[in-house]
Amino acid sequence: MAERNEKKKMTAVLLVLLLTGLGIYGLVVFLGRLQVTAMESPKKNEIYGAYYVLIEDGHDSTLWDSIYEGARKEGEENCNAYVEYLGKNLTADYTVQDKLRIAIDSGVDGIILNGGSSEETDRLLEEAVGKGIPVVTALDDSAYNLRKCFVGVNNYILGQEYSRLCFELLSENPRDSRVVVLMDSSSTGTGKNTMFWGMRETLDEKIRETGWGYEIKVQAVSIDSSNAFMTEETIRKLLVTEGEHPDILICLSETDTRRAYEAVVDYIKVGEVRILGYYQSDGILDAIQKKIISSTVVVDGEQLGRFCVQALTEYRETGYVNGYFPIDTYVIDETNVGQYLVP
Amino acid sequence: MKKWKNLSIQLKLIAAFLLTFFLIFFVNLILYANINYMSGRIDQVYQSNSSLNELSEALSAVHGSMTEYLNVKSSDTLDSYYRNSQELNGRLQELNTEICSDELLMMERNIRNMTLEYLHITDEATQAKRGRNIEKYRLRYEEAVERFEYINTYIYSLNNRRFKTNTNSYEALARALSRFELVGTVILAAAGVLITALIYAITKSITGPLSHLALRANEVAEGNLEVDLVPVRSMDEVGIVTAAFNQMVSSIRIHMERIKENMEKEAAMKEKELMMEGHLKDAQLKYLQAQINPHFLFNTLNAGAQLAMMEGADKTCLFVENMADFFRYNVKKINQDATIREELELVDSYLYILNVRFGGEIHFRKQVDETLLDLRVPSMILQPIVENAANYGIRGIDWEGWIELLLYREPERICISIRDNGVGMSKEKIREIMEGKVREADLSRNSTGIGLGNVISRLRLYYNREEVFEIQSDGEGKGTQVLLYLPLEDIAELGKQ
Repeated sequence: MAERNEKKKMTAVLLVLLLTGLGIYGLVVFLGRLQVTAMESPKKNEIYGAYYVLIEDGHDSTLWDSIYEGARKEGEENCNAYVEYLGKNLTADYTVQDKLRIAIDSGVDGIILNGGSSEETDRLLEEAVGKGIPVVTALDDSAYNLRKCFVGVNNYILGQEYSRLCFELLSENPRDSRVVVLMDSSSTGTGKNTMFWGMRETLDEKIRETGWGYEIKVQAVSIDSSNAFMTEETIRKLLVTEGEHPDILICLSETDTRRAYEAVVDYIKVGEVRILGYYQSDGILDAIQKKIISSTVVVDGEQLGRFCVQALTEYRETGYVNGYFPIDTYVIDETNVGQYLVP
Repeated sequence: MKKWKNLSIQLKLIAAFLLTFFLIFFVNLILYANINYMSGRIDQVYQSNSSLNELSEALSAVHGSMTEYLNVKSSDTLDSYYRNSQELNGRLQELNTEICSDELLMMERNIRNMTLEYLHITDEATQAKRGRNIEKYRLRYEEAVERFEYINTYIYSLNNRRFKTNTNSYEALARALSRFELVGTVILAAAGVLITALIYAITKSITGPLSHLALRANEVAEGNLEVDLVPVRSMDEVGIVTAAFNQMVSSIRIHMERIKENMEKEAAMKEKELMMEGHLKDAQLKYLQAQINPHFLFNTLNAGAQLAMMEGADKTCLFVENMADFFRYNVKKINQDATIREELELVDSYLYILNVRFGGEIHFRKQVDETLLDLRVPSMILQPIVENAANYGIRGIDWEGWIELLLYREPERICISIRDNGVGMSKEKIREIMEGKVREADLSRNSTGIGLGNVISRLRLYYNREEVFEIQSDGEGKGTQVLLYLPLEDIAELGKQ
């Protein structure tokens, strides 16, 4: 009996010792973990075969974020390439030319470019091409002679789309009307002109076809997107000062669309001035739902980004690539805005 | 386990001390190692910022020395430029060269490539200066300034980002350190509890058997020799003492057993002796009884009485009748109890016979509480006392002797006093009689054969108490008084039975 008790006691003591030992060991391990987690754990570092940069002129951030996202995913998933949105992680705000210089000096393997043509840009692009860096232009095909490929919307078709939307709006209330297209003066490319041309042509066609008996005055107003206050002022003038406000306001950038609907609300012109917007953002979708904006033409940004990277990769691998990748567009109006609104 | 048990207490204590010491030492070692490690990590947190600053300084130095050389074109400044660009080159080697998914490492890579390009341009600029190609070095200088600005922006941006992540690391480390404080305290507390438990267990294993032993020893001290032996669980000092204790208890038991046996033997022998004495007495009595056939004696004495009556000798008749009564009582009542009345009648008969024999020398007077006469007492208790008073008290004195008998009641007992004015008794004699040391004298011719010792014994036995008999005497010639104390309760009870 005593023997058994003794054994039990010894087992208990041993158990306590063991448990405490385990406890201390556990705490030590816990401490180790604590230290490891305390340090910044480097992200899983994948090594890639190519380094592409996305350079744009700093407008329409939502669209470009979407394009970059598409490019990055395509690079990581399918093309063994790291894509960087150049300038995003820098403290200074650089021009397209500065960024091009940085990209060339950094030894990138490809450039996705959006930016107006200029002498300086062309010179830098020449340097890049000279160093074997392929350039793909996105949305704006200004540097068409130096780029390997253009990925973007067919501007003529975009113009046709806008004129179709425009005519639909005019048909609701047939009368003499004025259509104003806000054109970005800082954009030196031919894309916007092509679009404007396409639009006018289509509109004329519609008038002829339908035997439209009223006058449609289409006017392009040039605004400088890079100067926020000037844009503001131009739109205000359009809506208030010039007596006859436009019936339809066509915006060709996300930023302009936003400014236009804010102005329409501010000057209480909702319903009087109809807006045809460009691209989508939460604000734009919200405005469509509230019928401040009639409809918006949306470019598939992610698809655009993916195509850019695909084009660069294809060129690097084969030395040849299609000169043009067309991108899908679609229209969001109050009938389908529900699908795009994030609940 | 066995080994542990067989260790001496000294070794056990040393082992306990060493164990606790090493435990605390081990815990502290872990804690200190952790603290050391973490403080080391904290020191390193801003290391990357510091290297970036150095890189920036090296770049500035190159730029400065290049500008100076382009300005003054001295060999000193050229040396300085080469030295600085060499150092910058060295620092560039530490930077990342791979294309990877880490944004900051990619920034490093860009800085590296841009700086290499910058160095290339500055080299060209210095060479152009040496070659006095003013246009070229001016152009290169402008390019270098532009690049210098870009690189600085990159370094500055990277430094900012690094600082942010490092600050996060630092904060996390600081948090970890403060959490570590708590954990360390918990570990120390746990170790403390463990050590306390350990010390408790060890001291308990040492003192437990001791107190157990003490408990058993106390039991033995209180006289309980039938305690269980204390089990010996270890071979340390306590184990040895326990074994010795067990040995001692066993020995005491054996000794006690022997003493008991001896005593029993002695008692048996004493009993035997007593029985022999009893048999002897019995034989003596039977001898006497055989000598006197009572029936024959009564019949004879009655015949004598009738004869005396017929002859008209009244005194003789009374005498012989008294004789007959006396003997009848003597034989009949010797083993029964009797009333006090019967006892007094026997005393009367006896004294009558004595007075006839000795010519009326003995004056007998009695004072009796009549209500007590029917109480029962052992038979033959008064006559021997009176006989004693007559034979040893008043026989042969020069003055007139008397015997006085008193029967009276005290609150809880009855007293019978038999007093004479004879020769009296010395204290020593009284003590000897009371202690039964006086051997019964040979039956004298004038004795009924029953001594005082016999009376005392029977009274004590009958009432089952010691204080039943008392002898008082003031000394030689002062007379003797014998007092019988008969407890009232017992008499009543015995009477009923």
